[in-house]
Amino acid sequence: MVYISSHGRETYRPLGEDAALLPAPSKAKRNFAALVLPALAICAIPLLPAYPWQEMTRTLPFDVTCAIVKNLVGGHAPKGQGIERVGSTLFDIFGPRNYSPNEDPYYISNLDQPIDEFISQAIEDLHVTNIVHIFLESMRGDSFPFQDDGLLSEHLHNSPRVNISSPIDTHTMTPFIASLAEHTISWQSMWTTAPFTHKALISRMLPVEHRLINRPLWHAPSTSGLECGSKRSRALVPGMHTRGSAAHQSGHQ
Amino acid sequence: MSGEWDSDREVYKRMGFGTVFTAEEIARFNGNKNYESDFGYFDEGISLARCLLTIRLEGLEYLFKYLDYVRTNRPKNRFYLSWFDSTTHWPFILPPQWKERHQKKYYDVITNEPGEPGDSFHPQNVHSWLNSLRWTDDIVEELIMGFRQRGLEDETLFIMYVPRLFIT
Repeated sequence: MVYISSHGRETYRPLGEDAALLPAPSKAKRNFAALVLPALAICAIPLLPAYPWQEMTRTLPFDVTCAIVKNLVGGHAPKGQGIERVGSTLFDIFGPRNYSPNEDPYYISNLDQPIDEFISQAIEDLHVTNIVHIFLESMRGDSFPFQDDGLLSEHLHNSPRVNISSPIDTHTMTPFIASLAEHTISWQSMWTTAPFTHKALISRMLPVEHRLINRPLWHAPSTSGLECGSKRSRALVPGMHTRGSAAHQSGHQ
Repeated sequence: MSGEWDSDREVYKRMGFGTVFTAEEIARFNGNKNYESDFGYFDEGISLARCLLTIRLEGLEYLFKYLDYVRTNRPKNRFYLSWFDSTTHWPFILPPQWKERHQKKYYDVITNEPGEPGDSFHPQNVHSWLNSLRWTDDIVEELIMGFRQRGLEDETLFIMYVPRLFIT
């Protein structure tokens, strides 16, 4: 399984049968999407009903102009070896509709804080340019590397229900990671309020619809104007419900 | 990972991903064959036993393809990659080739009767888990060696997570 977390001008595109890996749109189609459709949209402004669209029309020319410039400058990413990126599409001219920490009321940055002293000392001589996450689901904490005095080992060796027939120890079970263990930094416990601290981490979690995802945090009114929160999930977070209502009443969606 | 289960697509979108390359995309490279596992995704080394031809579907292969592509076309870019394995999760699917060479019988079962109240020890599951553990060590080695072969090991920080608890 490969997840690629990308930034910048690439934008999300639905997956599945109607999804990526399709040929990139031709230049003529892109120009049509980037120029003709926005022009038609601007011409249609006077035809819009008064409320709530009148509030949106004030910023529409600015938004359309930004989207056009961004689209023209962005272009289309080159094709990869078996991996094709998704570039400009008809949908994208209105800008990305993805999550943005800048619009997240719950996002708290720690970039202005100093690096943890323990970590900074551990990596002070290293010049790291790349990061790779290795996520092992359903792995026991006492088994990678396998701990001879761990709970599982103790349970197996003391169980009256089995008779050990092949050695079960560090060198037979996890020889490679044990060979690296002397050069690693490890924490026995690490907590986070939710697996949303970084989207590269999110992709490593079982993508069940967590309660938090189902809450209006992810459906909070944004510049995209998307509104997907269910009534049940809204009821779970009254504050967010109030915030959404207020935004809707003021027309800032 | 599948992009067609539950609300995956919307979740990925809301998470902010620009490009998501799921099992469905990988399947297209292999003729849209069925999944072998009921889990509905391709993990390392899973082969399609239902097909006339055995085709190995390995996510690691595509991770390295992406890595080579980025290094070739955008050498100044730094990368931030994730690799996920759930082989130690039931149903403990292991590559047939690996099983032929390395699968072991670690213990003989004396009795299948339950032990103490609350004892969830199931001999077959634990046996499969131990083999999955052994395989995991091999695949992590393959992953890190792939970076070493490309001269990237010394400039790459590997962060390994062993999740113990999910609270949703």
